[in-house]
Amino acid sequence: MSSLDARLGVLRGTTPPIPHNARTLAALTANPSCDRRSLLDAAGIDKDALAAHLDLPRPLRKSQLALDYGIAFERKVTAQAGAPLVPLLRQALGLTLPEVSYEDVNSVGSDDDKSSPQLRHARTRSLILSAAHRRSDPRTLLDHPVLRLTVAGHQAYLEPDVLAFQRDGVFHVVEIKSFPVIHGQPDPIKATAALTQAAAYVLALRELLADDGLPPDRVSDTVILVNPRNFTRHPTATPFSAHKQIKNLSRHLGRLRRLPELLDKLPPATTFDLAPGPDQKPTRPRNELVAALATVRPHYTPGCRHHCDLAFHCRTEARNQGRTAALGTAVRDDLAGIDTIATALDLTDGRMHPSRDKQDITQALRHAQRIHADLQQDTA
Amino acid sequence: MIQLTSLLRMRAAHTGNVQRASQLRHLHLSDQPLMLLALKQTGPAARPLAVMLGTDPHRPRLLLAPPSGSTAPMLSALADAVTAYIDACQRHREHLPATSNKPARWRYTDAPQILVPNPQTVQHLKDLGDDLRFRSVDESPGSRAVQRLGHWLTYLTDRADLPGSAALIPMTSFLGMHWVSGQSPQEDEDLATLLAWIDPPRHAASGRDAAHTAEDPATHRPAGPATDAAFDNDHLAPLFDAYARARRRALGLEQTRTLQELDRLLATYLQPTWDLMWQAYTLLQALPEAKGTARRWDHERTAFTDECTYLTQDGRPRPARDNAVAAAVRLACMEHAAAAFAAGRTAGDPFVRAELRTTGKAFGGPVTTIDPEHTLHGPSGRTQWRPRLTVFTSDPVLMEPGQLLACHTHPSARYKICEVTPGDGDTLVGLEITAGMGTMDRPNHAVLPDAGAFLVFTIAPAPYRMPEFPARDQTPWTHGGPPAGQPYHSDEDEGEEEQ
Repeated sequence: MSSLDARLGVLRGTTPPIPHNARTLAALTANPSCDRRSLLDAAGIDKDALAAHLDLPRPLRKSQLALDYGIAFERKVTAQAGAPLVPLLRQALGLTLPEVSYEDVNSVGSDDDKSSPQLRHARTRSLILSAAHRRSDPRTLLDHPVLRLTVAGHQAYLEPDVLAFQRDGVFHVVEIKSFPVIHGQPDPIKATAALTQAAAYVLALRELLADDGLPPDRVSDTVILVNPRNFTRHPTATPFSAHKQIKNLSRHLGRLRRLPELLDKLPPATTFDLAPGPDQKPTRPRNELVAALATVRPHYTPGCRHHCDLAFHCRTEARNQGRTAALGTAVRDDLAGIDTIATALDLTDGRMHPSRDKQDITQALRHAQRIHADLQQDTA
Repeated sequence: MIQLTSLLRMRAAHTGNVQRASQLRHLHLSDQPLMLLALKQTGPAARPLAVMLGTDPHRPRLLLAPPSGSTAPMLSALADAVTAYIDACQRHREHLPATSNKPARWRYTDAPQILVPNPQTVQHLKDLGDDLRFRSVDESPGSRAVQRLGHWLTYLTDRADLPGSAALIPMTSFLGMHWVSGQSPQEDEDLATLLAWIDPPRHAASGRDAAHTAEDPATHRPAGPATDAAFDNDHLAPLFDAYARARRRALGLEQTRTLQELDRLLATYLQPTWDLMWQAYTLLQALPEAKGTARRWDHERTAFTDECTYLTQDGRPRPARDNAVAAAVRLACMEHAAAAFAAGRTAGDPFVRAELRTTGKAFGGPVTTIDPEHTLHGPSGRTQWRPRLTVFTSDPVLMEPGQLLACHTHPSARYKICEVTPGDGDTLVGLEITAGMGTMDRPNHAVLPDAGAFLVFTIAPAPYRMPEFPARDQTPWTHGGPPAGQPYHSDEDEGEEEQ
């Protein structure tokens, strides 16, 4: 075990690590400058458990109804060895699939239960490589293959919905999502999130091929999203270019190498261990945990609640410290360089003298204040 | 540049109390708006779960769709309720005499106004409209009404995209025009917390405290259309399961019982938001109307009248996706509406002008000198009267000479910047009046300000002319016109997408 792993292990405590998945990788690109999240994710810490222990709202809690709906849709699409999927992909990719061979990688060697990711990954790898080298009859559709991506020196197992292989040698990632495409247009935010997840699969697949000396362009930048069409449950397939997301994600993965730097900044003996007791209930005193979290710099934005379990902790912290970021990106950007509301208002009201680099912004603040005062006078 | 709103947001966060923004209401508020809360089922695209609506704060009506099976009876009831409200607006019409550029016409004296909690509900109604307006009309009772409902929802949500329209208004955005809270704009989209900031209960120490209390997960109810995960898991999922089980075994009584329970659950779920909506309505109604508000409502009634005429004369649904020309027309209309609304608010509202001054789109100050006799010799040699004035301002002036300006005191007058002389933190701006002052022979002296008067100058809105767009048969096939080399059939059923 590397010393990095050991140090991250200390942060996490006794519980086994939660590996990265496509969703957490996608979140990396949503708020890359958040050291707190980078560190907690790298250490595989269960952020939802932290939030629950701190008695916070859990913004990423999943609705059972949404999950059921998603699963039902995916089943419908991949039913009968992917039969509904084939004509869709044929159209979206221009596949020539005279005969389609379909392989379910959900379980390897056993009939019912899901096998371990290592085993499924080994199976996926051999299927993909034999297709890429045309050693055997190529498998054109792989259902739930397991890929592996190196994230900050760790192996993360990722599970795309479907991989499609074209006869001319190109792989496509296919994602089955249950949000609708209405009149040809999906919700842009959801589509971007789906493409960022797909980008993780593309990178993982490229890593697999690169290990075997195959070029990255064997995996297409074009990702196929399969969604319900309009207001029905019938699937439709739409090709999207995930080029931007792939570039973005690989850049952020590269940045994760600065982990040792972040670790060096921590006070010794920092840990986020929940110290579960014999009944698995966390016993860590809450104020200790809050203090430990405070040692890592967050980058809070009001949008965090859409992708981070700890959003409400960081919000409370930002509010208590009177940070401008708590008021949204417009205020934060307006006040670039001033972190707290108190400083901004002290400069505005002349209780504080601006340093040389804050002179312009102070002038702007006082100008706005003067205008507001005029207005109050007029309306009073 | 610091936006005034940013400063106010910080003040609100610092003091814990909301700050007043504009104190004039720019959108008409009907005496009898249709309040509408919608919940959608988690999962499917636009499957409604429940709608609470009505014009009487004490008697909301709850329409419930079963968790599985047909939504037709619910939609048909919704269609009847909404159509009845819209029909009531068509009771009286007024006659408009001919003007120089318009023939005599008539319009309805009222128009529908639907108030919903947030922008997400507008999007949900838009999706619902997209679904319903293409439904086929068949023998089943109510199918025509449901299709008509789709048409109206599309019309209303379309209007909601137009700045200044008051046909369908999300309450949080409406409140946000008048009050600045100490939380982020994202959090302002939650009606309960925003209203807690604005109008805290009497016992609350501050708006911030009230908002904190309002956020308590145990009592907080999101205003829809999505239900939150906790509510789904703890309350809806068990009832949905029970309903599905009863339905599979065809236990009619059990089904009815589950639906009644769901009805009670959702009525309690929506009631707090319903009360908040009326609380917000009362607050907004107390604000005095700005000058242009009545005129904007006139436009709203014209648009409504036109839509009614279209429905009786043609009535084909709007296509799922506009063709190129229709899309360009729509965009032009939106730009025009946005510019007109911005200009109207600037002219009528000192807060809006103050905000523009903080972003460099306006400047204000006292008039120092005035030269009422100044004249120019035009290219034809005729003498033109161009009075000049100088304004002393401490606002940063980012505009260049030549820029045309407008001033709130005389909306039709135009001022051209002649020179900008920056001083020590202050600026002298030389202006020439180029429009609105009349001619040498018939001067309008009222436009000349007194020395010392405090004026705010804003960038003059560009004169608007609707660009000309080609007719469909003149449109190239690349932009949605008829196919190349084929005659154009006007009776072609355009835009009907297969469903």
